[in-house]
Amino acid sequence: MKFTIRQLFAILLFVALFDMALRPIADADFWWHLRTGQLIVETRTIPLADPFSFTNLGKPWIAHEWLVEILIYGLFRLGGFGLLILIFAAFITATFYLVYLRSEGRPYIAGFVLLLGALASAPTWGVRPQIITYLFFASFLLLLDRYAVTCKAKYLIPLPFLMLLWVNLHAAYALGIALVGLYLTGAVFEWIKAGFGIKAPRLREVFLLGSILAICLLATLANPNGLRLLTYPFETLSSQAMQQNIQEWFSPDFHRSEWQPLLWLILALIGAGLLGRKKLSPVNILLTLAFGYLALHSMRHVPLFAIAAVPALAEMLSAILPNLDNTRPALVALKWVNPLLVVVAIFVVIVQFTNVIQKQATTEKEYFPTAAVDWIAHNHPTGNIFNTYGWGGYLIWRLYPEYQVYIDGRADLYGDAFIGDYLRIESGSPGWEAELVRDNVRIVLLEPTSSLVWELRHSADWQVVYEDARSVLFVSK
Amino acid sequence: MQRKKVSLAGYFLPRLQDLIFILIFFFVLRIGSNLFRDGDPGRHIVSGEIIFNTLTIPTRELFLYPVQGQPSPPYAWLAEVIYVAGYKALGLGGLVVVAALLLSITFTLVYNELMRRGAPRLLSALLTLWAASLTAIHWLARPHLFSFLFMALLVSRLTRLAKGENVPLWQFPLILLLWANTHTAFIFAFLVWAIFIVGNLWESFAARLRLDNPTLRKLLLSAILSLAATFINPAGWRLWKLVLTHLSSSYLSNLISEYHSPNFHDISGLAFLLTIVASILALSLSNKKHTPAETLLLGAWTALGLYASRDIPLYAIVTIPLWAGYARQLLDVIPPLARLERQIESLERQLRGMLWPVVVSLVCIALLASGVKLDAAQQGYAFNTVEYPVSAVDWIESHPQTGNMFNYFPWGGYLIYRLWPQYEMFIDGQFFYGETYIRQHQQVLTAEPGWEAIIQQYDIHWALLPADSTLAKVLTKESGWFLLYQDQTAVVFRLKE
Repeated sequence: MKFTIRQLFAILLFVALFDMALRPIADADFWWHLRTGQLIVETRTIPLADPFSFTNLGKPWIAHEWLVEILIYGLFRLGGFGLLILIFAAFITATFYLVYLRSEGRPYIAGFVLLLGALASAPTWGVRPQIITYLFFASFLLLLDRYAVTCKAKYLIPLPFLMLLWVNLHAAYALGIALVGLYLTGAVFEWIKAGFGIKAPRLREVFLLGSILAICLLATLANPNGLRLLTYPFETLSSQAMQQNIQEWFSPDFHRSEWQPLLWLILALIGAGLLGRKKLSPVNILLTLAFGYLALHSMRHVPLFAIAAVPALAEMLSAILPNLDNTRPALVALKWVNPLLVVVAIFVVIVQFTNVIQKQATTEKEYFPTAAVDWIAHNHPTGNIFNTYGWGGYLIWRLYPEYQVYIDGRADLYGDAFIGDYLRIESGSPGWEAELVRDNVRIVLLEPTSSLVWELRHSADWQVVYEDARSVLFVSK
Repeated sequence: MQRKKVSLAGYFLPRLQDLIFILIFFFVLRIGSNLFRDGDPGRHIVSGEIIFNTLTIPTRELFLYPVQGQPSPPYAWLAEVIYVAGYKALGLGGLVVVAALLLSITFTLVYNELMRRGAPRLLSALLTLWAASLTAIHWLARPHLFSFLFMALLVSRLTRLAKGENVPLWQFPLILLLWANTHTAFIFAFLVWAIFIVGNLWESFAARLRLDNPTLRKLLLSAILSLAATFINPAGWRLWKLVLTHLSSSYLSNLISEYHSPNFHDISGLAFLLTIVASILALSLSNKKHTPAETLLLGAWTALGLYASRDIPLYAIVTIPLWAGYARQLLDVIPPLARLERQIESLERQLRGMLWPVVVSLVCIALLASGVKLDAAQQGYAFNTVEYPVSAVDWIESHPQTGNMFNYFPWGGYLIYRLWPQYEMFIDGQFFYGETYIRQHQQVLTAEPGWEAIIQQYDIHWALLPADSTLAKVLTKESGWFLLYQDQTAVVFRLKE
């Protein structure tokens, strides 16, 4: 087995990315996705109303991630947490491979820039439906880019089929429509520049992209919620409660080391832009700016920025730095060393995977109130549960259908007003007792730092039945 | 060169730069009470008054009883004296006037720098106002406004020096001498020097010239002289120690809100975000060649602004002048703009200005001195009664308390202003006495386990707290404490004897 240094570099790069993407499941929403997947498989229907909370039971609910929830549940049934972690790590690696294919200066410049982009987006990785959106986003960009360069229609044909899947996997399908729209705008601009007539050279591209956009829009209607899903992404983006209270919608905090690579990516773009001799295409500039804006606005958009900006940065750096073009076969001395390095890298991945699997139970205990939920499952206290927002999903997985939750990570379902009420109760604001009585809440499960914990400890009506460093469980006397 | 004759009218008509000065000056007077949305001006007023009255600069802590007598470098003594000169003449209105003058002069300098770099006048004015709006996030009647002014002065002079223009070297140590005695952000001056020095080396290296050149020697000499000048202050080398210790504390940078990364959901953060996006867009579309120093300046200040929102104003002052080249290019693209620029230029060539800023400033000062209220609400300048325990302090003045007090740190400066020397406070917003002491304050305020021991350690007998603080809730239900005073903002509790 002969590898050139370039091939070896690329292989090691993606093995390293796969290794980075292997991590225990700690996402608060994972658990209700898993339960929803189970519900869909067992009932063979896609829920259109909320089945999980007692506060919003029966309220219309757009399960826009239903297909990925089936996938999550199916993988879990097949191979447990391990298989889920492996497959989602593969999705992440595939996403960055597509980004790599779009990048100039392969393998070295593109590789290092890709690594920076991957590090910048790594804090958001995990077993989450968004990961699928990143893969589709990268696929759309690659195909549209290829089309822009070659003008071959074959690159556009897969887009409607991908859209058909995307719209049933995640509500961020709207990004795909926006990307086609962006390239169409670019083509219209070029057509106008070329004479704006029937015989102008770019008319064919305008027609093709316009047709694909129309077909993609039609494809978005093929979902269980029909037209309703078309407005859904914009409702989510305009929710004040989500933007102000949910951490992944916050701006990145550059005091935290995990966001430093994002800072370096932004600085590299500025530096390369100032010093570089290469002018980017208007589409690349718009992509970088729009997703840079979104990334600084909300950390959940950082991967989209990385996917959009890595090729732009690689293009600019390729114009500044000499590309080390080493296409020669590997030296004889490396004939055995190179494959050995690949084997070692794969071995490291296997060790990492084993560690991650072993850490899963510890991670679950670290992030979720496992022991307190064990207590509930064992003692079956009566009444409704008031729970911390971030634990609702875990309770749905562990306790549904015996118990329904007060709130969980489906902020879109609950709405701004309800989330505001929840926050007032959780902070122990005056009137919290009446609210709990009204909802027949007789069990409260909170983090020890919650202000309501202090109120409950000093209330004659409540008693602590379980407590550890992670959680406090109260039951009404 | 023979100076062109100017008609009498030329002295009476304002130039664009005069209008910018007047606009910013008057705007600051209108929103003056906003400059007191932070308690620190209170401490600076009292410190300045002590210096004024005793003609000595205190170098030990006077206001906080837990650290009473400990060395306290007077890092802003000169700024305090200048602010207090205004305060003695016009009360809080005097602080507003000093702040308004500092901001107006700073942005007049930014405008002039844009013009000097070739930007058209109208676009220079718009860019200057944009820079001013970016800095508004940190418009407070505090010594850091001097840093705005000195940064604007330094960057314009260093840019010229780096280009090989003749700039008297004595100006640099003078700027740093004043800066080091007015505000701790003087340390950023040396980052700017480092960038210009690296930029010079980079250019020489790229052009295969000798690294040792007269410009580099001047840059190095000015930096060394200026560095030496920063040691001429009442605390000497300890000022550097203080600044470096403060900057290196990750606990403090996570605790103090102005050190946090900007929140781009807020309008102020959004303006910064739009500026970053616009910078990248301008760089991508422009044909202008950029020097390494310009690249490093933009990169370094973007990073600092993203790291801590308090650096955004300095980002604006340093980087907005870099836009001059792109603004100039617009003249080629938009012919009406070029015509307008020529008309304004020919008009301004006949003007000498200066009169209007001076007259407007003097008239406003005279109006304030005669009791006219120039703030938009016509209420006069005051600390905000919703954010500060104004009524609670009134109550304390009429109901004197004995024993040590515990207070909420952002109120410390205001309490010093209102209650010292009758009372000494537990803490204020200076944070120069180590993390342990600040952590203890946080532990008590949030009633974390062990808070009672800290109350005993400092022999605290009463507490002035935010009405919605955890400790206020806890003390309401603690049998050992009783409530003395309560309003929407603050509560006063006393330990049962």
